[in-house]
Amino acid sequence: MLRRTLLQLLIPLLAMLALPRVSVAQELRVSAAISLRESLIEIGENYTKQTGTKVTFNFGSSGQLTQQVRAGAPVDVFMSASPRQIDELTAERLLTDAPLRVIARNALVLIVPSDAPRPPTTLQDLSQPTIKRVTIGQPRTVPAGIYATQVLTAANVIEQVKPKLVLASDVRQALDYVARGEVDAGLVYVTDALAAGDRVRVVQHIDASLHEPIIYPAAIIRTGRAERASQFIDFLLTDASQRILIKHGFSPAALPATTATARTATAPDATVTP
Amino acid sequence: MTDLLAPLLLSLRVALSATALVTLTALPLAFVMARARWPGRSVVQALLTLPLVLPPTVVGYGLIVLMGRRGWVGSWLHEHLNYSVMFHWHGAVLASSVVAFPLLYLPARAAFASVEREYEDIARLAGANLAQVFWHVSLPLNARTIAAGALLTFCRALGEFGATIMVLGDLADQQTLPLVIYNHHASLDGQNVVIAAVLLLVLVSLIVTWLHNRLGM
Repeated sequence: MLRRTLLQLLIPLLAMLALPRVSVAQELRVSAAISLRESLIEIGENYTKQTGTKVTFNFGSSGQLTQQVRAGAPVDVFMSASPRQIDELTAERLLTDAPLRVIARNALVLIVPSDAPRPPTTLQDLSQPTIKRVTIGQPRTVPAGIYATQVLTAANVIEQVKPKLVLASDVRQALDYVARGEVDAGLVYVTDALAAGDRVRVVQHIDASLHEPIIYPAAIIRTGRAERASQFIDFLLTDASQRILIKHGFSPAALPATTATARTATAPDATVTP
Repeated sequence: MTDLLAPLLLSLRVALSATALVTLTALPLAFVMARARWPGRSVVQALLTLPLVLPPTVVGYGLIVLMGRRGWVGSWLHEHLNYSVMFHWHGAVLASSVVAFPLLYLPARAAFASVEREYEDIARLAGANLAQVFWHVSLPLNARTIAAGALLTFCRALGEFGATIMVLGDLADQQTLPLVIYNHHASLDGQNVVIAAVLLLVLVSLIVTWLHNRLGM
């Protein structure tokens, strides 16, 4: 009796395995730095409305996403929070030859839990003994962590702060550590601080001269659907999409570019070569 | 390799402490639950088995909610004792203990339940209290099962990652072997470290599972 029931369960299961995978007619797979989450979901909805193409997002730290692409993850568009990962993938010939396009820019802020009684107010304060824990992204995989390390180095506090560092596996985890009050301060993107609302407080906007420019390049994966991917990147650079990014705290792609290879200062499709 | 010495020692320290903590909690609980006849025991039983089937990240999240600086218990500890398991190696012990707990609890409870009641009854008639029955009768009768469960607990604690990373976090001078692997796997220059750490972890686990098999389990 039990055996028959088991068989009755197993046969349809096996049959399902044998069926060819039903592919969705219109689909686009996007891997993106987690700081872009809210903006991209909103833009993705608009894109689906206008084109009928369904967009599937995969968010994570740029390092994790790069590793996934390397391992053959099915991805069409890859957006990282730094050109570094894109450079690696280019060197490994995993991207198409289409020129990279910057879709947004970002800035760093020093944040504290919103109810902290005596929060640090400057980068220098982080070396005070009253500050026990400071969080940044894990520099090995999180671009925000690399930028934050550059900032702490430039501010000359890295040696004192290093023993206090809690490294987050992506920038949103760093944000969460601060929001939960588990750490005394953190360095995250201004867009993350905005997304957290009143759970965190920005005490200092970090001078952009203290770190490499924070740009988000979009790349097309060689094994992906190149044409559709390119259309989606076009869509990201439209005024409507750029307005959504700005609403979430990003600087527009078309800022006067700091990258020497940017085509023009005002072109909406400012490009950088890796 | 020398970079891996500190992570290896921390992993061993966490796993050993977790095994001790689990042994101290799981055995008495298993003994009590094996004899429990009160209503609602199946609910308690399910709760004690839960860590086996829950994703470790859920365990980690639960520990943060409970033990975080603003957690139900954690806020009290932080306020009155200025102590927090968050980002502390004690937190890693707690996390791996919860995750590994059923690996000792389940076999121990089954073993305690299978002991012929006569043995325990004779001990009771001879004047032993329940604790003495546990210590002098039930425990020695099931020594092998319990040792095997403890070894599995150690292995699971050694490899615990999901709950641990949420509680222990990622501090430069305080990384377990699984955390080192996770941190390096996504960076190009880290592949050698990953391979070395993986081999080390496999080696230690192999030794322990070999011991486990020697126990006839």
